[in-house]
Amino acid sequence: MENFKRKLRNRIIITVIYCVIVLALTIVAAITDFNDSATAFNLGFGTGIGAVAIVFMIKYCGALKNEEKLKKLYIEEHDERQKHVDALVGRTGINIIILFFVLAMLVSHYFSRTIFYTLLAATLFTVAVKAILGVYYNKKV
Amino acid sequence: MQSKLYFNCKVYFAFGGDGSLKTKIAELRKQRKITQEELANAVGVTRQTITSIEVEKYTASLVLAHKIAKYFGTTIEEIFDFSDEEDQ
Repeated sequence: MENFKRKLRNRIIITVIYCVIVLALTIVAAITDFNDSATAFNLGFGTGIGAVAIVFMIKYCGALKNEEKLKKLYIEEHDERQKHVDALVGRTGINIIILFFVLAMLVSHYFSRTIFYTLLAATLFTVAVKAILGVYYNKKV
Repeated sequence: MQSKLYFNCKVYFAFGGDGSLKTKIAELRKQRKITQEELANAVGVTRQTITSIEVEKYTASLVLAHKIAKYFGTTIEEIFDFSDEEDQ
């Protein structure tokens, strides 16, 4: 359980660092009077992730103060069925993503070469990640 | 070593209850008046996992089977029915 507590503390530290970085970037962007949509999107996206991370941070802080909550959280995170479900979701999900990328790629070829090559690159990348992870876990397990 | 054992002896997840082991967990629980939540907490899993094992949607890992057997003070074979597996 001590390892788990350490893990939670590390997650809290990472969340705080992340939030400080996002806040600093937001302040810099506000000072420099940005008005491009890419920066606005990135900051909005970063802030959204930060908000979710803060919710988890509050949960971790609560668990660190209460042994019962800590045990419950430990069980939630280490439940073998949940791990199995996550593995199945990952495996099925990546196959569905590849299938849709390929279908979208085939259709997009009639409309735009740029979209076609972007989807081709995304498909090849996804397949490569799947193959590399397959080799890695086959050796590891 | 333990993780290898876990993966080798592991368990598969079958939708609709096909292919999972029959168990006497529900029976033993009722006899001893233990709730799913109490058993789940004692063996370190969620209540949903115990439910899935009882309704034969999920087969417990060797480690979990051992913990459940130990909790009831019996053997794995007494709780899990391997007869279908032996036939295959």
